[in-house]
Amino acid sequence: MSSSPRGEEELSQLLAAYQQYQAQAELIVRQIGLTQMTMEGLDRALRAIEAMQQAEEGQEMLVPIGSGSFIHAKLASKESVVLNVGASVSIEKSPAEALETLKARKEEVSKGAKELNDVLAKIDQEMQSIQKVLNQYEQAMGERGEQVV
Amino acid sequence: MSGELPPQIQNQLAQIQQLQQQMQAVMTQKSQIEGLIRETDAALRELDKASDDAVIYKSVGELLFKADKPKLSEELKERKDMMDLRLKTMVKQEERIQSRFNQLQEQLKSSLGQMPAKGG
Repeated sequence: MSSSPRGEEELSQLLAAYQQYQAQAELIVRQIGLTQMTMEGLDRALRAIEAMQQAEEGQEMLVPIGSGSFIHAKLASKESVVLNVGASVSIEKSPAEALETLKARKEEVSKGAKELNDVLAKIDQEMQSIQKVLNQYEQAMGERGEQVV
Repeated sequence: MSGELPPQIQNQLAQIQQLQQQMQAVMTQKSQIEGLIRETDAALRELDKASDDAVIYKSVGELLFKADKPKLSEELKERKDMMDLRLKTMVKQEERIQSRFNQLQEQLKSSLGQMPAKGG
């Protein structure tokens, strides 16, 4: 831990690693935000299907058309739900099947979110240990009247 | 700093940076295609699971059009074949860039080795 070329090299390697971890952490935080949005969307769909099961056919309702605007509609059928399965394909399913599929998706997304949180915790740990070494450098250099960067 | 380096080394560094950017672009495209292939596979699995009389829709923009299950499955399979082909091209491109990158890295190492030691 000195300002020798070897020490400087180690210091710049540590700083580079820290920055790399920081960039990775930011990316993972963004991905966690996306998974949360997906979970919220799945929750909304699950609640809507459950509410539909309890409603009567012909029930008056408002259908969202975006920007907080709605149009009047009547529930034509409570026998089926159209689910998007990706790749521009949607399949009509019974409400029970739709609930099952959406719950399975929610579990998968939740598992993914947990994995992302675990990776984030590991990155955080690595960053803290690098920070510790950088602090030691700073302290040692401060004692000699030098600056880290 | 790069102002002190000989033009040959500067040139090699610029080429390496360019290759890194190309590699980044190829990797982004590759992961997009891989995502689309996964999505198409999942949709094909769902179609397979659905009964023959299941009502299927294909979305075009905001609209959903009723579709024929066998025809849509065929369409998805063709789409997947095309994406597999694009993925193969991407992998080849990635390998080419990686090999050029390694070659340039070696050249740069040897150029740096030939540089006169800096007097202190």
